[in-house]
Amino acid sequence: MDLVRDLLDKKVVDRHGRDMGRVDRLILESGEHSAPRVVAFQIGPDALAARVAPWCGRLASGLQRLFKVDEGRPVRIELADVLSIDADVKVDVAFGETATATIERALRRWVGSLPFSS
Amino acid sequence: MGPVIAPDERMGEPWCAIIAALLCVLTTACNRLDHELQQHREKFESLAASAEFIGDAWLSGSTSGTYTATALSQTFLLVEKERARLASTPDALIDRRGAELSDSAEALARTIASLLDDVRGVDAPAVRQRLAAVPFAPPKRYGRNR
Amino acid sequence: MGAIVDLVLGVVTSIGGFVEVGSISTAAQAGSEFGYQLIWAIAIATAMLALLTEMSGRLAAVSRRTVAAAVRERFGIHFQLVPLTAELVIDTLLITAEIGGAAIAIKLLTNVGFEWWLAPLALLTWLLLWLSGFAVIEYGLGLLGLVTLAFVISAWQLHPDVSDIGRSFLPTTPHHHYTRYAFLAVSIVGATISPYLLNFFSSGAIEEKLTESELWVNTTTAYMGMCFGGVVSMGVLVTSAMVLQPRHILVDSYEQAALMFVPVFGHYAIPLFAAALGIGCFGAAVELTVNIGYTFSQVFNWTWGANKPRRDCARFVTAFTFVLLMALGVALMGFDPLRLTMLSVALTVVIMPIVVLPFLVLMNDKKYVKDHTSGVIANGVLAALTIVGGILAVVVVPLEMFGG
Repeated sequence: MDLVRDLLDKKVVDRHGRDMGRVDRLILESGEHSAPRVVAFQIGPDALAARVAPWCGRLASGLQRLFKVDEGRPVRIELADVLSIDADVKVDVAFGETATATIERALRRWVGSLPFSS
Repeated sequence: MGPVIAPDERMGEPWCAIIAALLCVLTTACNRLDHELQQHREKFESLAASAEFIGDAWLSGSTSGTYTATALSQTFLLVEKERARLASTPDALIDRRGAELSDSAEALARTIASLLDDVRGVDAPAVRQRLAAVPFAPPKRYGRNR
Repeated sequence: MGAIVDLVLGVVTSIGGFVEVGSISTAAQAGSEFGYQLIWAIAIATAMLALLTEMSGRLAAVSRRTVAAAVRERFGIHFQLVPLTAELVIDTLLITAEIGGAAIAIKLLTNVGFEWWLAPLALLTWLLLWLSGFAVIEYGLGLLGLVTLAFVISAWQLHPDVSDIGRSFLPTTPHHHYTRYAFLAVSIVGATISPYLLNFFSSGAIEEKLTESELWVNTTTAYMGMCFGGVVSMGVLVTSAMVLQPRHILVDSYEQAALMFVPVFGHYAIPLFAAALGIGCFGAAVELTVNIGYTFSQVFNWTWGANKPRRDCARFVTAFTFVLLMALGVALMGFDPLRLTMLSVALTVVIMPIVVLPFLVLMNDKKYVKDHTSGVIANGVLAALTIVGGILAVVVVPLEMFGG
């Protein structure tokens, strides 16, 4: 597998087909005598920002703390929870059970309060 | 043995270069001033033609008083902007052509302001009279376009 | 039958949605200053736009990915950040210019300063996006936009010399103001090939669930719709050339541009021009705004869709609301809408190479388009467009300074 082409920046969907974000950063593990291998990936603005530049990552983390949406972030998905990797990366979790839904839920409070929101 | 160059001839060469350079700079500056004045003139001619067209359209009943007032106000603002740009170049105002341009532009602004007043007062004869004397208005030629 | 209806609607709304503040202002200025001489720029830009929109629709139909999503996946976030940031800035300025254009259209009819209409128009834009599904946004506004056919009718009624117009499809050198001519040619390209249209077209293909078997609908809509839309732009230029240029009127304001309708439409001239300008600009403002929501949602994979309940796509709604508020803030600073329009189209040209370049890769990647890869001619044209786009991106800033 080409990690950059086939995994990084790919769409992530939960077990129900709901959009969860994208593979924003890969977590590799390497032993003394073994080649690095992917053990997990992260989803979230702080993970993505850290890929762009370390200071961006720190800024994104700071903003998340400021707006109190930092609990459970960045979201880490273990490779063992990946059901399939083809056009999308399908994972065996539910969108609402992870911190990927935190910002959506927070914004839904104001969006949902407006008339005709449903 | 080649020609002997007299000391004063030798001393004259740098002066020729300096004079030539000065002439170049002056010519460039003049050309730039000519170009700027031409641009200002074209703008004022355009705004004068616009005012004329707007007035003619109102007289023929093609446009409402509301639009005519809006358009004349906007044209007036554009004339004032262009006048301010002309006035911000002292060289242009010192130049005889620039000074004449500035005077004509002021007359244009007054004419448009008066036109606006006449349109608001629904005074068609006054509008007709002012349109006959709009400064900068080019001769009407609505021939075939290329 | 459904496909035929989709095709007709697609073509008709492409015509109605083609002309907006950028194309009206550039074509009007071009006509008043250079007669028919810049028709070739509209023709070439329209052909390029048709090619790119067809590719956008094809990419979406086959890969089920919009342009923004495909660029993120194929090129990564480091590349994506550049067009994403540029589009955010430019689209905000464009929304400002479009709302400004619509506000001036109302000012033409009421004589109430255009500044007073900015906030109500921004609110109307938001309400339309809040309450309407994709069909209303795309087809409703597109059908209303057919009022812009008034430019074509006007040009026709003025009886232009068709052979003169025909000759103008080939580039010629101007007799005066070479820098200005070059600037307007480049601006026409920038006004026509708006990057937002490409992602909007591909998002529309996803919203309408366009499939591989309906690619012929996509191709026909892209080419016919854009080409007929280009004819409307040419109508603006020809009308301006025949009415304003002989009178030596240079278009420095929309109030002057409106005069182009007077000879043909008489006392309907100003209401018709105001309707064409207003609806064209408002429609573009709505599309630009929703497209920002689409772009951010697709790059970060948030739930998105104009047909989804708004509470189910809160980040999508927040994104376009935030950008609309930013655009309103810029508009209320009092910039001249015509100047802002010309600045926006110049900036569009600057980012054109990075918008066009990904198509060269994506449309030849079978992972995305399967067997529907681009042919040699399309690839050649795209490569040429990328190179020319790069040259234009370099020259547009000096041209704006000296000819703008």
